[in-house]
Amino acid sequence: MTESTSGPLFSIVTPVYDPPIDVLEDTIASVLDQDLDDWEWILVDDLSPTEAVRETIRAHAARDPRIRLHEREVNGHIVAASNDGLAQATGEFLVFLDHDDLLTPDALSRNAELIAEHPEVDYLYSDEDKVDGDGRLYDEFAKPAWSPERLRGQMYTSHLSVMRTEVVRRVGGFRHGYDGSQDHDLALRVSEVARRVVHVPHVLYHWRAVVGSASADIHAKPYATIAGQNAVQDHLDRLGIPAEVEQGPAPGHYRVTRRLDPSVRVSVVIPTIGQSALIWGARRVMVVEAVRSLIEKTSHEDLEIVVVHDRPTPPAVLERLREVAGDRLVLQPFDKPFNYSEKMNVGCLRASGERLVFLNDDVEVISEGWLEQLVAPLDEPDVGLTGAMLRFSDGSVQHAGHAYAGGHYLHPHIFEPSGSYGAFGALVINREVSGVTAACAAMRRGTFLEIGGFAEELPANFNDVDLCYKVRATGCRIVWVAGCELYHFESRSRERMVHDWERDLVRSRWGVPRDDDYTRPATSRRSRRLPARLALAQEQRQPERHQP
Amino acid sequence: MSGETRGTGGTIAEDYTASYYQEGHLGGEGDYSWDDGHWRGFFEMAADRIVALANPASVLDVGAAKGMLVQALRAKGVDARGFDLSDHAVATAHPDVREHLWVASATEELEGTYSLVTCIEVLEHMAPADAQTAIDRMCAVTDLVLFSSSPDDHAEPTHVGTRPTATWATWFAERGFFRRVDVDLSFLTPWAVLLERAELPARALVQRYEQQYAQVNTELVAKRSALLEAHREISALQQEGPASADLQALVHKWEAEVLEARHQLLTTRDHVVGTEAQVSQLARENVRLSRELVRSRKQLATVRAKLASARQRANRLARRLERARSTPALAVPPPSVAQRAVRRLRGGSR
Repeated sequence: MTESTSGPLFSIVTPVYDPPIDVLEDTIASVLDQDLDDWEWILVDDLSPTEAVRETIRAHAARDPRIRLHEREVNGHIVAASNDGLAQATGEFLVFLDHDDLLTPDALSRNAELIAEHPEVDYLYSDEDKVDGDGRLYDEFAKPAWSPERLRGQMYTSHLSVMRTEVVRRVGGFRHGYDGSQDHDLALRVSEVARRVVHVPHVLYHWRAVVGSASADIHAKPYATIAGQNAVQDHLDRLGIPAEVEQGPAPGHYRVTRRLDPSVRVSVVIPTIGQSALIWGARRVMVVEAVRSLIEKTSHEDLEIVVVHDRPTPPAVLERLREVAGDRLVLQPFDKPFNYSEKMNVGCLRASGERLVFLNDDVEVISEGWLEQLVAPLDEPDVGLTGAMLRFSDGSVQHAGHAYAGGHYLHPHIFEPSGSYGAFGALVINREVSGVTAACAAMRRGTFLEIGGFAEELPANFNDVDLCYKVRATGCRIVWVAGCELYHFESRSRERMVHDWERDLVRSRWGVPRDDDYTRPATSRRSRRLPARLALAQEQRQPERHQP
Repeated sequence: MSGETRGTGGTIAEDYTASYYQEGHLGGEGDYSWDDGHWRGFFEMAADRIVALANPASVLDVGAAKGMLVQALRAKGVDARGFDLSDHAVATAHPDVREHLWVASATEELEGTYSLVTCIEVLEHMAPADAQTAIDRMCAVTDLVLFSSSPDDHAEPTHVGTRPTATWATWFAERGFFRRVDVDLSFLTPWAVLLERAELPARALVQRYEQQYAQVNTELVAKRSALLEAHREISALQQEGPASADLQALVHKWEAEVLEARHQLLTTRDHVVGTEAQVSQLARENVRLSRELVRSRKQLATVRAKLASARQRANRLARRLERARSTPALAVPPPSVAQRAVRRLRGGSR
C-alpha cells in the first residue's frame, strides 16, 4: 500500500461462482494488500446462488472504487464469465485471478518491474505454489524460462498469467468449447503472436487446494484434459507443425507426436572402436546392436549411417555392420589418437544428410519412431538441438537434459526410477533444457557448420556442454524429447576422469554457471506459511467450514 | 478427320461423338476447337504451307472434322470447303465455317472439281473396300491430292484400316497419281505426301525415286560411318583402364583433401566462436572489475580524507602542546584536555 507509480494499469479479472465467503474474503484481502496501487478489479459473478457472495463484493466495491462487480443474468461458465471481465477491462495488462486463490503482496509490482525492463513484453508468467487449509504453502513450481515446447505438453505457465489486454483482444479472448482448459488455449494463442514472453522467477500466486477444484485434482474434471488436448492440436495446426496430440500418462500432460518429412535425409553418426561388453548377461558387440536396434525402430527411409571407426576395430565387426545396415552404411576410418570431438566432426563432415544425429555406440534404441521424434522438432527454425531420454540398463534415468548451475554441469534427473513422471511431469513431456548429452542428439547440418561442430580441444569431457552453449549462443532453443528413449549402457558407478583444465576451458568460454534457466530449485526447502495476517484469517475460518 | 460407314469393319458416325474429340484421341493437346490456341495455330501454319506449296484456287477437305483446315484456308482467301462423316463434328464447328461444311461419307460421289483435295488422317478409319472407293471419288474431282494416313498408330481404336504409306502411294499410282518428291510435308505429319496426276514414263519415274533413294542412301552411309567412329572412341576410352584408375585415385585424393579442408574450416569456426565467447566473458569480467575498482577508489578516497583530517587534528594538538610547554610552568599543571587527547591518540601507552 504505497505511492502510485508511473507504470501500467493492471486489470484483474476474476470470474466468481459461489465461493465460501471467508475464502472470497481471503482472496479480496490478498488483492487489497498489493504494494502497488495501479490496478482495477473486475469481479464477474456468474449468477452465484448465494446472494452473500454479491453482497460481500458490493461492500468492498463501495469502499474501494477500483473494485467493480459485474453481475451476469445467466450462468455462462468460466469462458463467458472471463470474457465479460475482459470486455470491461480498461488496463494495459490483464491479470487472471481465481475466486479462491491468493496473490502475494508483490504480485503486481514484480510484474510492473519486468514490464518496465522489457517494454515489448506481451505475456508474463510467474512461479506458483499451493496453500492448504492450514495456510501451509507447498508444491512450489519453480518454472523454467519461456519454453514454448513445454507449453504444448502442459499448461505450465498457468498462475499467475499477466497478458497485454490489446493482444488478448486481438486473438479473440477466451474460446467457447475449451472450458476447463480455456486458459491453456488462450496462453497458446497469445504465445503465437507475443513479441516477447517473460518469466517472473518468484512465487506470486498461492493456489488453494480444495478437494474438487482443478488445482488439487484434475481427475475431477476429465473434460478439461480433452479440451486441453484439442487446444494443443489446434495450436500445432495453426503453426503448420505436422503432429498428433494425445493424452499423456498423467492428466493435464499431452504427448506430441510429430511427423517427419520423408524427403529429409537423416545421417546418424556413430563413433566406435568395435568393443564388446556384457549386457543383461549376454556378450554383444555394442555398435552392431546399436545399429540393429536403430534400424529396427526407424520407419523413415532416407537414412544414412556413418560409422567412424578407429583402426583397431575388428574387420569382422565392420563386416557385420554391412550385413545389418546394407547400403545405408558409410564407413569412415579414423587413425589419429582418441578424440571424441574430432571423430564426430569427421563423421559429420562425411555425412550427406540435412539432419545429423549424434549417437554413441553403447546404446540400444527402446522407442519406436525415436528418430522421427528426435529429428522432427528441428523443422522449427529456432530449435537448434534436440536430445533424448537415456536410461541405465535397469530402466532408471541416466539423462533427461543437462542443467548448468552452481558452478557445475549436472544431470538433474539421474537415477530417477523407471516409470517416474518427474517433478511437474518433467520426464513425460518434451521441454526446453540448457543442454543435452551428445550420446543421442540431433541437429541441422547448417547449425553444426555454423557453430564449428565439436570443440576438438575437449577430446573427452564437456564437448557436448560446450556444443550446447554454442547452440544457445545462436539464439536457438534446445529441446529434450521425452518420447525418444534409449538404453545407454554406461556404468552407473563409472568415475569419469575429469581434469580441471577441461572445466576451465568451458568456463573461459561461457563463464561459471550460476543459475540454470530451465531447471530451478524451489526457493526454500523449509516449510513455508502464509504471512501472519492471511494465515490468521485462514485459521479463523476453519470452524465455519463445517457449519451446514 | 473421320471416315466411313458401309463396308464391314469400318467405323460409323457414332464413333466420333463429343468424347472422341475431348478424350485425347487427337493427341491430347486440349480442346479440339478453333478457340484452342494450339489447334488454331497448327491449322493456320498448315494453311500457310499449303498455299505456299500449291497456291490452290479451291480446296476440298475430305474428312474435315470441325473444319479447322477449311477455316484456316478460307482466312487466307482460298475457296475451301469440306465434309465429314461425323454430324457431331460438323454441328460443333465454328460458326464462321459451318456453312462450308456438310455431313457425308467419303464413299459418296463428289460434285465439281478442285485445285486440291486434302485427306488428312482419314482413310485409316475406313474398311479396306470403302477406302478404295474413297480414293476413286477423290481422284475423280482433282489432279492434286494432299494425303496423310498414320502408318503405325494401332493403339487408336478407330484406326481399323492402317496401311504403310507405300501401300497408299501404290493405290494412288494405279489411278495415275504419283508422289511429288520435291515437296516436304513433314510440317503436317512425317508421312504426309503430295500426289499429282501425271503421265510419267518409267524413265522419269525411276529418276524421281532414284534421286530420293540416292539422298537417303548417302545419309545412311554417312551415319553408319559416324556410328562406327563413335563406337571405336568408346572402346578406346574403355580400354584406357590404367589411366582411369589413376583418375579415380586422383578423385579419392581430392575428396580426402576437400574433407580435410572442410575439417579445418570447421575447427577454425569453433575457435572463432569460442574466442568470441571468451571475449564477451572477459568483457563482462572487465565491467565487473571496473565497477569494483571504482568502488574501491571511493573507499580509498574516504579513508584518505579521514586520515588527513585526523592528521590535521593531531598537528593542531601538537602545536597547542608545544605552546603549552613553552609557557612558564605553573606549580602543578593539571593534565589539560589537549594532553589527554594526545595521550589517547598515541595509544594511551603511558
